[in-house]
Amino acid sequence: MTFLFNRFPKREEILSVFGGVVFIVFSWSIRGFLYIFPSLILRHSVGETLSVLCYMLAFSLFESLFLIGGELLVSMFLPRKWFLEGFAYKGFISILVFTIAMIVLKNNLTNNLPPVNILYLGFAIAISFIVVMFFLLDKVAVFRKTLLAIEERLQVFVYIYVPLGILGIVVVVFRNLR
Amino acid sequence: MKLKNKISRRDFLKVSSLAFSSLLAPPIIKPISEFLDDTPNIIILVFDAWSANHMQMYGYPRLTMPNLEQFAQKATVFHKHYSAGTFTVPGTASLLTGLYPWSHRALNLGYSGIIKEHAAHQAFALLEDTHSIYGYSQNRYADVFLNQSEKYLNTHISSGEFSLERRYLYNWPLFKNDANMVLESFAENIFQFGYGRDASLFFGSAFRLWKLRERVINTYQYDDLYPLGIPDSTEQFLLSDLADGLISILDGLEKPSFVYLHVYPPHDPYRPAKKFFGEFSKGWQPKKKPIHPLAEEKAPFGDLVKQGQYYDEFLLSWDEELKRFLEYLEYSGLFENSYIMFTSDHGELFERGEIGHDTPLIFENLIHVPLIISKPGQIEREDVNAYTSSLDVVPTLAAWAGKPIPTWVEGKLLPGFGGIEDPERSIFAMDAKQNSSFAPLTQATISLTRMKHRLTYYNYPGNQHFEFYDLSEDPDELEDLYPTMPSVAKRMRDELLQKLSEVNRKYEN
Repeated sequence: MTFLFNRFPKREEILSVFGGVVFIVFSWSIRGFLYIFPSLILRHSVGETLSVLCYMLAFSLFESLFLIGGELLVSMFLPRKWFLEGFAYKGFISILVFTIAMIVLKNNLTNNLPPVNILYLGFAIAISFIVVMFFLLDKVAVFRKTLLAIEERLQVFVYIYVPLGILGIVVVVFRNLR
Repeated sequence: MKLKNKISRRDFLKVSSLAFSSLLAPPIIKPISEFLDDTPNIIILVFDAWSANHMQMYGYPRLTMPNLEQFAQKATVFHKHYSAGTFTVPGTASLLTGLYPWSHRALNLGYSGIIKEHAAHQAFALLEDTHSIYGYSQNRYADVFLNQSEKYLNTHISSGEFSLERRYLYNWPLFKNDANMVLESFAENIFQFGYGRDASLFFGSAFRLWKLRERVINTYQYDDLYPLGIPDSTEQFLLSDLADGLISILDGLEKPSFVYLHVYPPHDPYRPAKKFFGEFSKGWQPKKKPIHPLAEEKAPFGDLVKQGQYYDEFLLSWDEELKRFLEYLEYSGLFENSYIMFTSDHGELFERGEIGHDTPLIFENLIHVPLIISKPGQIEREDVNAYTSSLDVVPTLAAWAGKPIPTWVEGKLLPGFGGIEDPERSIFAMDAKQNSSFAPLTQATISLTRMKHRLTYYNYPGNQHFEFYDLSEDPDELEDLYPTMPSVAKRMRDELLQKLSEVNRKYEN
């Protein structure tokens, strides 16, 4: 157990990365909701439309927790110097790179499975990019400081989006237990 | 007399022997209820997007459904039966409620269902106390109405039950109480297939990749059965599995039961089986009709002919599988003690630049749907030539269950089942997928069919016009007579506008 706790980043660092994760995941979801909003109000009452929003918020919280959990897991198993040291900026930059990769994937994903080689290549490019970023962040202090400053400002979203996500879960549970 | 409160060994052995013999009893002795209850079963089969004008018995040159046509020889065939809606949502809602779309307000392509005011005004609620109710819809847009009627259903079979894959979370037992909202949230928002706009940034793409991989595996496995791809209701399925699934639902049915089975074929994508692929590539070809100015696809004539051919071959493929289902009805005895109905929620267009039913146009092929009903033990074919509507199904169900016709229905009892033929009856059909369910109908197409004439009102901002066709002289609806304004067109226009103003009044404030 002690080994596991020793491999855990500091609480402030986790919160810092979680702020970035929550901001990205919830903002993307809200963008998606706004996209379908005009068609929702054509056929649903205000209450029903809000319940769609609640499902989305609840799912976003689950997705955010899953992502931060994944990062913590990676920090446990990778060598300390690779990821645990500097978790605050390394965790955030890796989420940023994967966000870009996912957006590129989404924009190219149709009803057909893309060739597996392309998917592997995309994954390899994303990992390589993360490695380069880690190197640059370790070497260039301005870059690191800028990233940490952005992260610090994003932390406020933990206090906005997480309660919304919890509210979403309460509504979803209530609707399904009726 | 004092009762013995202890059971002797001898008593125990006597009782045990009786208990053992009771195990043998069920196959020999029928339940008493079966002798007492003569109420017939009611089995409704809805084939999605099934146009009457693609069946030979309705005048089509190709024999697309030979087995069903044989079944129809011992059934009542309705020749002028019309759906009130032009796609699944309004079409199914009207079929199940006996109400026009302007009343039940299930207007859009979504998962809102019937408005609360009419939520209990539907077939399942009507037969709740007389029948065991089974519901299955392969089309998730029609499954919405089963979700909405969950409390009336004894058995609700999941839409993906007979599919090769399960894409949706809404029919998990966990979400049973809020299935329609789960469907709306996940299928239309969190995991949007094919559009690249899923609200879930990370899981959305991962889930889609996983599902696409599953599809590739299915395709490799069944590629030789379907040259154009595996049949697909957004969940891939095999026609043979579907037919077997329908049989399994009917197997061991409690009596009396009301069974609603809504299957996807022949809805697009049209995926004929290898055996029938190319069956109609030669011979009769459809007539070319001008592209309608409001047509959305504006597909070239060659595409219309090709897709129409695949549609017919898909029908033929489905009919082949249906044969087993029809044989099952015969040998299981259901034919003898059930009303069996085949119909559709709407038709399909392969003309005027449109393929399918995602269109604001209303023409004969889109709303003229088959209605074939076999009465218990019927041995001779009967034909009904009067105009009937999908709204008439609910009042007829009430009559079959020995109930009075509900006051809320807008349909009538079907002729041949106690109803009277009304030669002057007005039949409405409409498409209002762009219109809000809570607002007056200002973006809609409404057609009125009456005494072999059809008036269609295209009511859209910037495009309001009428078209009028004489269906007896011009069954292909090629010559728009509205500019010449015959007196009958004027009367029908007044009737339609009066009706529209009446139904809009409620939503104007």
